[in-house]
Amino acid sequence: MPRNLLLAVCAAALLSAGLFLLLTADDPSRYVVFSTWGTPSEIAGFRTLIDHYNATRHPLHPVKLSHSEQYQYTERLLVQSAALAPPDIIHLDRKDIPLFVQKGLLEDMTPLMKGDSSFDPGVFLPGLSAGCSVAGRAYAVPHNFSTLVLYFNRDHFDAAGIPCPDSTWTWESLLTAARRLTIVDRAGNIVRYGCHMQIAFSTLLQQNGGHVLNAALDSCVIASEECADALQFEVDLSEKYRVSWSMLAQNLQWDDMFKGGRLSMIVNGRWAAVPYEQAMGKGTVDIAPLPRGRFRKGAAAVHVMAISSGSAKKKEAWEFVKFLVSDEGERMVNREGATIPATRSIACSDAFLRHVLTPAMDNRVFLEELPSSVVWPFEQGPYLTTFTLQSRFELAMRRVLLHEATAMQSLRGMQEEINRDIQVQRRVPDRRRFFGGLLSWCCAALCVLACVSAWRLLGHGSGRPGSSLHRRGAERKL
Amino acid sequence: MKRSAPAAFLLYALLLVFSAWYVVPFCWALVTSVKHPGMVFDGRWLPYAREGSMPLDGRQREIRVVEERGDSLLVRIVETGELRGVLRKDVETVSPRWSNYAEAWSMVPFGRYFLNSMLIGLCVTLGQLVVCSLGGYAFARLEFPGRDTVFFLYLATLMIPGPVLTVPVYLLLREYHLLNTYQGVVLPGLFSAYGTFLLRQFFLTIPKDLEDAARMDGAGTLGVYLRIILPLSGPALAALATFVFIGSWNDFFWPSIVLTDPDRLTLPVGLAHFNDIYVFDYGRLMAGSMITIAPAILMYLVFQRFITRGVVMTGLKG
Repeated sequence: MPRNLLLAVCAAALLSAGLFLLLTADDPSRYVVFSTWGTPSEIAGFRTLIDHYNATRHPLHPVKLSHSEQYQYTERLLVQSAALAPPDIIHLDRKDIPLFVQKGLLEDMTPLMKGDSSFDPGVFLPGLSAGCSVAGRAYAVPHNFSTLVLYFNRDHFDAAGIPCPDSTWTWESLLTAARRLTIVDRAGNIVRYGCHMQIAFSTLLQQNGGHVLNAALDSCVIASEECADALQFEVDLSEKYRVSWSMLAQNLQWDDMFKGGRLSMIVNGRWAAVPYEQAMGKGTVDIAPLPRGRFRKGAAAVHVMAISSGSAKKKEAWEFVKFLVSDEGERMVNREGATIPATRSIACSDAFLRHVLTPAMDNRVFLEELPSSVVWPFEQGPYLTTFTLQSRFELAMRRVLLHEATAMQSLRGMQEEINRDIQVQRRVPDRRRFFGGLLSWCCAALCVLACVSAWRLLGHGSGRPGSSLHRRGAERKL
Repeated sequence: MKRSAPAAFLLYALLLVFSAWYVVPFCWALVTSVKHPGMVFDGRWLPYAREGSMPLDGRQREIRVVEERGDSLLVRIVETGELRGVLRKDVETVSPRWSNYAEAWSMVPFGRYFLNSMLIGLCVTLGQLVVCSLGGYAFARLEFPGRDTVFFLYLATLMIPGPVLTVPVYLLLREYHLLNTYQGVVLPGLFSAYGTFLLRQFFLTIPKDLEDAARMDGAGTLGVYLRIILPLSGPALAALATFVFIGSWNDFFWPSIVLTDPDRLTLPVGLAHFNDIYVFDYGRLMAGSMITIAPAILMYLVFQRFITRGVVMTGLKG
């Protein structure tokens, strides 16, 4: 009977699906969960590393990869922590550490580091460990980083007869070269742009002597002459000199234009090196340090490994963190070529300097930029997220581009908005304060209740003969 | 009533504009999926190649375009490193880059993602058909106190925005150790007020006499449901199945929250891993997108008739 057969098939399908679902039930307590983000190639690198660790070290609780795409990684971690289901090991950007520490989400790793003789904090490149501590306590160890550099199309420079960029370049040199490299067709359309600096916008402010936040990271101080001049320079690149497209254009379009030879210079990190070399051919693309402003400032994104304060397997998590920053672990991550290992022994070796995936690139430039580097994109402190700062800055830039305000007026508006955000964040009560406040209110309410009861017991509010209530009651009866 | 020619012309023009609104982005994605890296925003629809080989000095030589100069191009000869001006028409050729598909397929475990999406889609679809048809039958045919009130309350859940339920459901799944599991994605998808409403409306159109006749022949409630109601509800069930499967197949938000193990990701979530904030490969991403949406399009083409009928039947879109 076809109908019975159909029913049987449906029942079998449901049964097998149910069985499959039951069999694949997952108990997170069986694993040490390691959370990270990344492109497919980066994830492939981490998977190889985890498989190797589980196969060679035989941990009691195997390490398991938890992965999220980059756009919502931080928000997702915050949600997981709020739901009391955080991963054990968190791959984090260094700039997020103050925020996570302020929310109590990271484990103080100082005792683990001090109590482990096999861990040497001196193996990292200088400057990388600096931002991993808050108030003298270490909350993370550096794992990899990337400095921003100026990628340029060597073919374009050769064709225009311009010397390639080097460490002596300033903003002026960049602008001069960009004007010569920009090509306009007969109809007045720009067919090739000279440069694109949008990724480094926060660094340019600091190169000009400006700051986004004060030293205590609890107040925005961006409305300064230095920052306004830097912002104006960025806007002028597109609006006045027309060597760059509108700063409001999507960054991703620029990336594609650079690969396609329709842009001569672009600022980007190490993560772009392999895709650029693969797309543009060996020898076409090379790198140089960021052009300097009034000060020489580079930009570095440092990625660290931290242990969640909510983890039930902190010792095992620490063992895996140690493996990650060991030479063996760093060498495995270095294979993908998307980041720079944090340990000196690998970063300064041929494994990175003559990386097989970027053989024609002068990889030393990435390391030379590190000593002068500032936190990229923003040092955000404990009250802000990168998203808040970035979206506010883009808004400020938009106001200038649309001629709604001058650079200084726009930055003043941004400063006020960010300081308001900080005030709001500072007012958010923590759980202890909340319960403390709740207790106070309960006590106050009890006091009021006791007072009212005492007042009534003394005969003022009761319905005893002669009292006002008694009179009102009697009137109502009548 | 027959429309006048200008009115019909205007109507069709308007419809064409609206359809272009949806079709053009799809065409862009399709063309981009076979474009070369760096050629996505070159202002042209067709995928041109600007590197390859061309006859120069009596020999076939590998070249790379350096600069555009009107009708001519400045190219670099790869072998010698020499720069030379050539005519644009000699270099540029329409050349789809089919390898984007192969590369996209090999960059992430598409096969695995495909199976995950299929498994989750089938479980959600089958489960919802069972749950919604039973619920719809109860609300349409069974008499019990407060039935209409319960149905109204059930229907009222349609008014609750999905994100509001995210945190409570997430916490619930955590309590039952269902985070990062297929069950965590499937279970919340099994219950749907929309599906129940759709089937109830359809069941109400089935003559009650058929049911009474079956009862006189000795059929119980379940017998009537299995032997009379379900066999007559093929179109409604097919419409619901299509809606649910396509919805589940394309769902991004919930699987991206619940699933963290790279081996358990669904196609839309896996596809998001192509994204990097500062480096982007449009060609491969669009190739991956095309692979992802192909089954949903196929499903739509096969069951188009049922979907239309489902929309007409309930006045709701899936």
